[in-house]
Amino acid sequence: MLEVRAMSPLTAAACALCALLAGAYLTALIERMLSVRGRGHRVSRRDFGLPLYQAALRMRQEVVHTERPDSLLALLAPASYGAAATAALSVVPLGASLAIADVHTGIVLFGAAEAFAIVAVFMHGWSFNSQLSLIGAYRFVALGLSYELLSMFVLIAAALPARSLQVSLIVDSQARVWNVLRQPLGLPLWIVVMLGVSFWGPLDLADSRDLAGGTSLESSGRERLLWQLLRRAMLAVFAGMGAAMFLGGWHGPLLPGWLWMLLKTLALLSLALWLGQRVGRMHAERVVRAIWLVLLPLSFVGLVIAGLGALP
Amino acid sequence: MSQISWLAKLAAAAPPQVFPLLGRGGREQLQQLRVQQELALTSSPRHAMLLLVVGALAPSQERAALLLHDQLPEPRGVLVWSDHPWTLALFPNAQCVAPAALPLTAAQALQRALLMGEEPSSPARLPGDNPVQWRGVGKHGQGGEGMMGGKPYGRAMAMKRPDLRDGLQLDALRFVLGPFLSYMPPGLELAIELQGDVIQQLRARVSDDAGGPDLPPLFRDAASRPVRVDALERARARHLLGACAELLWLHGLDGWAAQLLQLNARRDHDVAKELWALSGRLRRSSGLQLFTRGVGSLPATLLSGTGPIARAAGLRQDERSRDPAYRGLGFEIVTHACGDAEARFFQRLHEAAQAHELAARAGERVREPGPPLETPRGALQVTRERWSQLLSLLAAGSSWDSFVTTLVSLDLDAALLPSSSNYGDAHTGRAAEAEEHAC
Repeated sequence: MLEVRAMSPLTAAACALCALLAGAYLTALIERMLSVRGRGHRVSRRDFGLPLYQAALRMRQEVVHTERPDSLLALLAPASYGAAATAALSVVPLGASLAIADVHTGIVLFGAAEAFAIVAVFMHGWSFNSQLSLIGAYRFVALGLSYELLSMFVLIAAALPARSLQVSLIVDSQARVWNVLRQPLGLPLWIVVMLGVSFWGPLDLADSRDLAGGTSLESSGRERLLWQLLRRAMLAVFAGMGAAMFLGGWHGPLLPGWLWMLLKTLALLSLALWLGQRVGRMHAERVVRAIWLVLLPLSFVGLVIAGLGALP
Repeated sequence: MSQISWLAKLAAAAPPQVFPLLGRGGREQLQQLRVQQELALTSSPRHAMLLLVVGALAPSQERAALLLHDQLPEPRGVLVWSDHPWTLALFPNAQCVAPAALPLTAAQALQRALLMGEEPSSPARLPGDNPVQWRGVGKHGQGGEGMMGGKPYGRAMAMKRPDLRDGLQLDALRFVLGPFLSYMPPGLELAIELQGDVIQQLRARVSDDAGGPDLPPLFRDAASRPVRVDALERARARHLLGACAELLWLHGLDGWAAQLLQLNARRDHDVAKELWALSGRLRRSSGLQLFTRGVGSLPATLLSGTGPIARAAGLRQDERSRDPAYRGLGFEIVTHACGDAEARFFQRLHEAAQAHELAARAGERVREPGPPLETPRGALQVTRERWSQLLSLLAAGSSWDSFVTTLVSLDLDAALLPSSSNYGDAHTGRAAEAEEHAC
């Protein structure tokens, strides 16, 4: 039986904070590097400091309040989104047999955090009392169910070989063969969920340019900094979960488990961000159609393959 | 104090965060900034520190421009990248950059000075008081008299109306967008009624003083003086590629857009070859079809005249085929069939590649004024009122994101649309009261 080390509450809180901040920084850094390369320029040393410079700039800017905002929701939205990111992170293994809270129902908790994140994004868009923000919020909720269902089927399929909902056991079940090999549909579908719930790249429909920034249109200064930081952290958490569920988590030769976990997370994060910059944003209606008509049936096929593979 | 100073120094190293306020004739200028790594163009004024005024503003746009200025968080600064006298006069304390220069250094210096406290923030230009007194009594605005009828606080409440598609009663939201939304033609305002993400009604308008056609200067000159064919074709290619880049940028394909714009700056003979290759890569790997195919179709039966929109729908009309200056250059009319956003995108891309090929073959050939000139937008024989109807038809029942793709793929000149004085019924009664400016 796999033993996962338990953390004290203080260590867990510090660990979660550091992981979220590091995730947000790395996401911003990779995003910048890909953007620089995409425009045919070279990455410079200054690019490594850019996320920090931009954060400092937001700290120095005024927070502008719209007319009659819903102040309570304006506070609750980032708090809820942050809580969702932290809850999701808590079940993601940080190294060999190391997680903040490796609960028996890990993937259920992760799914609940996803649902909570969707509500938080809606609250964010609603709170500003601004039309385009509200449309971004509507749009995200309209898409939320599609992402949720896809995520559920993909995660259940990945859990089947381990016969457990506990993430550490799912990782351990991949000691010989990673899920990406025995369930080839799982990882591509997970990347769709990742981009959808964190609204990035082709699935950035809540904060898109046609809505002049959507749910974030009216946010400025520290408020904007916090929201951007949480969005990037959420994407990194999803990459971590993807590394655990499909790429064998901490398993790998020579290097320590935490380093394997970090490398796999970074690889998945880079792939998602690269796709985000190479594939254009789709229209909401077409995304829903593609998920219900193509991706969800594919996820059922994945579930059947996983079920057959898990038969004794 | 030392902490603030440390933070300010760190912040000063960030690339300038710029919101472009685009006036007429400023799009090509602005696109030079889209390839810059050291400057971030924002989608919302709330995300910016500097307001960059590009091109020429009309006097009727004064209030909208000042409103936009006041939406930037403090500390804020203004750069005017134009030599248009009225535009310069509107922002008397702004730093000015000549249209021929890039405003990168000026933007960096101004942002740094604002962050270090060396330059005062640009003060608000409009009074900050509320235009209509709030009449609610509860802390969430509930209750009070005069709140029904959908207009508390001078703002339209979303009132229930039957949905276009199935007649279900849904909340309808009415507001006006423009005239400075960065992806819309400068000066265009859209009065919209939305239910969720679906457009129920849309009216397009421009101000009375919007001016004549918004064309690259060389095409204006070509009507009255001889111009070199190669220069004319390169100017055409720049405009067409700029329109393609706008669509890519709208959909987050900044890297692809930058590649197009970088090709725009080159004059060598390989540009056409690279454009054809880029066209193939875009078809294969950008997912362009996913957001353009079947979107905003304008079939040939609805159109007549010349220009990329007509040719994308299959109309083989181009003034260059009759122009003596193009005789013997091997010019052939390029067309597409579907008339949708995808066809318009590739029509422009292929015409840009063709324009570079023509420029390479033209040598020192000169075009004399006289024969009808094929401009980059062409000459569609469509009246202003008809354009307004076409836009309304394309919008009704479409989702907002699809309509925006359609609008950008049309590369409209706002001067083609009806002015405010001919705006008609959308500006009467309660509908007009209910409208708001969102950006």
